[in-house]
Amino acid sequence: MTDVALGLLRGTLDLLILKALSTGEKHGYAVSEWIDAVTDGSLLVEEGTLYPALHRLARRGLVAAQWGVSENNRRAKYYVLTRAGREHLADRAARWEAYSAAVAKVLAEEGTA
Amino acid sequence: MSGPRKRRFRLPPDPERLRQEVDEEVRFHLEKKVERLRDEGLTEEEAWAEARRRFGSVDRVKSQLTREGTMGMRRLAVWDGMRQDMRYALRQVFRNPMFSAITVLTLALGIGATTAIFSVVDGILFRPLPFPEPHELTAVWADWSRRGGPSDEWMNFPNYFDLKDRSRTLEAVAAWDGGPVTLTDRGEPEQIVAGFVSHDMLSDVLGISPAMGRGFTAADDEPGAPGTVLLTDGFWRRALGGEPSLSGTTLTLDGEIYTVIGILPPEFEAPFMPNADVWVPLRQSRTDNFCGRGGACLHVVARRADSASLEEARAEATEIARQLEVEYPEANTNTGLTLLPLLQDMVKDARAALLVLLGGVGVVLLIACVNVANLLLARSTVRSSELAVRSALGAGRRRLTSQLLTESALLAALGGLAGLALAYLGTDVLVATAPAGTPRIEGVGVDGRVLAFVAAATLLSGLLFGVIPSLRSAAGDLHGNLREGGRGGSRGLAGMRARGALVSGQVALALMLLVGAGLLLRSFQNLRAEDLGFEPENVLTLQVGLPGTRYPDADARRSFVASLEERLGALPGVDAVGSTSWLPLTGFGSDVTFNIEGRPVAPPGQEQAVWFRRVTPGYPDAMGMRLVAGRWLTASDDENAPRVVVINDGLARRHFPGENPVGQRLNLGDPENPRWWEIVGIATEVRYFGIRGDSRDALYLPFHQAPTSTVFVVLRSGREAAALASETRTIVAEMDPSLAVASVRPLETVVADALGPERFVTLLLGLFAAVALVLAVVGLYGVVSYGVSQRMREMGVRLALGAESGRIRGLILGQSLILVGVGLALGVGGGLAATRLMERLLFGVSATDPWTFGVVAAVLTAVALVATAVPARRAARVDPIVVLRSE
Repeated sequence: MTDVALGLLRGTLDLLILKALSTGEKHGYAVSEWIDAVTDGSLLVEEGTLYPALHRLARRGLVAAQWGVSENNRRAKYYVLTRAGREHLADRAARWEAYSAAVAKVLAEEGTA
Repeated sequence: MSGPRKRRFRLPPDPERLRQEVDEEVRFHLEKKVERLRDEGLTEEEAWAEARRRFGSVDRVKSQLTREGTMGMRRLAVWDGMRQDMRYALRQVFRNPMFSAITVLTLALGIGATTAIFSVVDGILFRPLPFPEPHELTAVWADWSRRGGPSDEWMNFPNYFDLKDRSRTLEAVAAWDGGPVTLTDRGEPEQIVAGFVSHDMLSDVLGISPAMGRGFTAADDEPGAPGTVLLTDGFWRRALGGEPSLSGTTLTLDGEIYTVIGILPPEFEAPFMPNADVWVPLRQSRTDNFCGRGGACLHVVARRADSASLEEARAEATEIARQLEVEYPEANTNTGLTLLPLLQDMVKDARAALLVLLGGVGVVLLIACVNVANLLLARSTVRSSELAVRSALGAGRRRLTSQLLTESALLAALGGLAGLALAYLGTDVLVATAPAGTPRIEGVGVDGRVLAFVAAATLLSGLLFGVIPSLRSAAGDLHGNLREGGRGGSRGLAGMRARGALVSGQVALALMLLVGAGLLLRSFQNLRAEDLGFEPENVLTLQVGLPGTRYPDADARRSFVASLEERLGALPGVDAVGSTSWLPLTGFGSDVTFNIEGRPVAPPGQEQAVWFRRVTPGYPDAMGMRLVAGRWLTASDDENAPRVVVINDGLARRHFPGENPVGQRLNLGDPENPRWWEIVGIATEVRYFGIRGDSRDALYLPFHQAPTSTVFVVLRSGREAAALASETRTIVAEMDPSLAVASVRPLETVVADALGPERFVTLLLGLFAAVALVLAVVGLYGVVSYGVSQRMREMGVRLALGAESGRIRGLILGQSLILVGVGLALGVGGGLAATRLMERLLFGVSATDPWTFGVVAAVLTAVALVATAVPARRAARVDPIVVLRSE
């Protein structure tokens, strides 16, 4: 994976993580499962890259981390969206939609030419 | 839920714990993955391999998480520490509102005053002139020092044109003159100020072009050319309402019609005639002009070529002047040319005073900083036990230092903000109260550089007074502090010594300022007490211009002035009326060469010049001038009578020692075609060139023998000035509605204006000295009274052991007198060195005047005693039982 692709991915990955957490608190593994499921495994090539992103979001205060107990009584670190994270997600999602709509429109134009 | 952001208290970064957590989190992920893969049918071994493959490099992720996590925690810890320091500092500031207020006020005063003065000094002395390549602008003067005259005498047209033609180092040479003109076609006749310039002054020398319309051309500047005028932006808005269409707009100035050809840009700040409303071409040529070779009536400003240094231009000018001496010996012998940078030329009179003020305000800032340092030092001693406890509870020295620094910086920032507000206010006040004629004052304001100065001053003082207590506490001996319980034993004594040194320093600085202010005050008194040669009380003066178009000849002017004086003299309560060509103290006048009948005529370049004024017979009475011998000019000394003159006693003393000048005759002007004037009287000297003005030869000619077109009328009357002024205006308007009456003001105002710069500097330095005195006294009081409260137990023991309360009082007074005495000694030493720098500003008093030094030292000592007496009394009244029981 090239650096450019990683850079492109990072913003998208943050967005996906926030989206994954928007339905409720999850541990890291559950987040990776969710992303795998919604992207058919195409985006998260290495699951390990999820964790630096999660921790970065936690330091920025967009998600909060807490140790809890998992379904089968194991200690696990759970992540939950903070108010700032919720606002961030809404903002980025709106921007992303506007951007992708614009790109789609451009590509459609090119197609007809 | 409570996220980490809400946690008030955070443990210090612990990398080991972080590593464990990362391990656990990653392990959890892998195990969950393996679980699922096994469910999908993989063997244990296969599942682990696949989980690791899907995860990527486990070690890389772990080390990345640990590294980034530690860094983040560290940053948070620093941020937390700063927030904690700030909270703590705010709490301290509000817990001691009195202390904080004094500190902030002291700083604000120091910083605000410094910034205001700095803004003014910078705006006048150092701000570059607002023209392209301002360093190339050069003022050119005639140097008459070799013939006993000034080195900055005015030029004349022929010499100016010769310089213009011959100079290579000066790429443009232009001339200016200026004065009041009467504007008649815009409502009431009004006197406005016109700058007269050669056509190349604005375009080639100053390098500016009009914001609208065109500039002057060589054709506009020919003698007899139709009048053209450029308006300043301000005048255009005021008189023409900013009307943008100029085509065909004209102004009638002194009866002549001028076409408005352009408007100058609003930011144009004239380096000369700063109050000019309009600019017109001089319209003079080498042969056709009002001021021939030998005259002194023209200002010259040049722009040096890019390549020429000032020294090269000076060398060339010296050579040109030498050529002119050879070519025109009768007019130019013993004259040279003086070249000065224009900015330096403009501010030369204000420079000394401004630099003294700058020094004074620097001292105030220093005292303010010392005071704050003192206050903080005193407090750090009070809090030494608190700091010791905090230290014992685990606060590191660096933390304690950073806390104290934060506190100091907070106070400094508050002081700086208040100081900034004070700076804006102070600058406005200074600009508003600056004496009329202060160069460049209209362009002065608080600017970015000054703001930077405030920031630097604040930061510096913050560090200055923050670092000393911090260092002291950081170097402190914890056990000693805890043992002493903050009562102040040996460590308190060390603190007292440091504060004592600061108080002595403050007293020394205050003494220096007080001495400076005292010397200026004495100079000012001396100046006010100077005999001016006339009595300024109860005299009203006004100026009337008689334009050549309506008053073309001597007869017209003579009859107008005669009937004006007659009508003014008939007003009730007017005791005397007279007129003159120039008022005293305004620095203006005319001079002429003269020789005495029966004595050899001086060779060219060594002629004697005499200042002359034309006066009407009523003038000496109206002014309250005194006669030494002979008689005044009378009404019968008219245009048909023999030519007579009254000389001043300076001229009599210098040129007729041991003789009676009355009855002797003088020739004024060309000795080849003498016109003899008989001396009929001797008057006492009048200060025409400022109150400090040196004694100059002067004489009085009968006004009616050669009436001037600008007349100053003086009325002596016990009546109120405003009512008299309006009656006077009415009379002038009745006689000729097209005339403008200007500068209606009491003669006392003329005198006060002449003292304006001195009053301004004296007032400001006096203000600084007062602030310095107050700050020094506050500092002394603070230290003594703090010292007393720290030594209550000692005093109690002394009293219990039988010491008399008088002795206790004496002990305290004696100790503070030692501090003051050391300060006085230092201050006298510093003062003797510093006041020499202000010698130029002094008048009739020596820079080392023992009387001033003595009085100031006595005042300081007396005030110091009062400041000490209160705490000393408190110490003497200590009840030993109460104090000892409280232990």
